[in-house]
Amino acid sequence: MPDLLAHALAAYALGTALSWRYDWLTPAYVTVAMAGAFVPDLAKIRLAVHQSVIVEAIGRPFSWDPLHYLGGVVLSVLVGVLVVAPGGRQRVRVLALLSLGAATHLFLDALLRTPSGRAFPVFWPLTTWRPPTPGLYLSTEPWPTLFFAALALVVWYVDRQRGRAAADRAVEAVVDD
Amino acid sequence: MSRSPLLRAVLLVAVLGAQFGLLLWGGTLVGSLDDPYPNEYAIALDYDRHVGREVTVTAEVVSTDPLVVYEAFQYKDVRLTVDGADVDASVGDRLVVFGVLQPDGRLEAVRAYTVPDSGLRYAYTVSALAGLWVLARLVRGWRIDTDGWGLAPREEREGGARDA
Repeated sequence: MPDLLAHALAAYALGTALSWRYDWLTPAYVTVAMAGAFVPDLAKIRLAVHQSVIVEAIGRPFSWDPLHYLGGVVLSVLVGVLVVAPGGRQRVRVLALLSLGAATHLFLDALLRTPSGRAFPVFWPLTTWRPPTPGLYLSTEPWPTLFFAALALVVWYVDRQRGRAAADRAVEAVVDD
Repeated sequence: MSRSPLLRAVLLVAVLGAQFGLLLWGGTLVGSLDDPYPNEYAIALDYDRHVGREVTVTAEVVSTDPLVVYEAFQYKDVRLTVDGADVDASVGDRLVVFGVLQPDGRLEAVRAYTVPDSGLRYAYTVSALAGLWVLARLVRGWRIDTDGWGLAPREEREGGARDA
């Protein structure tokens, strides 16, 4: 991963920019995209409970890695959808935005520098193929975060201007009446 | 579909079960899916077995001319002279090398780079901040709907710019 802050900022920028097009995409749903950007890093649970602990407990092979690949991500997203209450179209929206956030995460991680020049097996268990990576950055480098922070700042500013313009129009409409 | 909380609970258990199954499956795959090449630990355990093969080594630089990396394990250690690595490394750096293992403690590098030492602490700190940020946004934007047994978006606050 680039760090989680880079992932959250990228999802914020993308979600907010999409909200200019989709009226239902409120800040609450932008948050869902940001949460989706954390989903593949559920695999980092290994830092708290190493998989060897589980292997010893259950006496069978076990790995946290699949949480970071397509199959595990899809199942994690479904868990997210199932904890949302029914009503309106909120489940479909949560499904779309969690998936979008998770997809940005996988995409950004596939650009990470690796020793072998190949990324992780993104599409497992469909295939163990590991796409070649351009090796743009290491997860321990701050500049991807700075880049997405700058992008998020621009998007935030544009979003605020749009909000003000809409509020002004609403006031004018009231005054005209 | 699945308006009943009971059905949803059953589906949730089924999805979590499938997830657990996937993690068991992942565990049966030989080595790590992320990096299928033998690492420094595998080399320390049985050097001869990996001679002539592609390996991934992450270890500390102990000499720069020639470039030598070293890593100690509980009962074994591995010391490799790295040939053909185009890096600007200093003693104490962590070097990541992908290459072909040669006899007599030599490693012919295909690709190599150093990892900054301060990086990990930085990554953990900003990641924790990101977690708090998103958690705060979730609490502000979502509420627990006791009728629907789940999370629901809070109503848009009055005067919000977007009221779809």
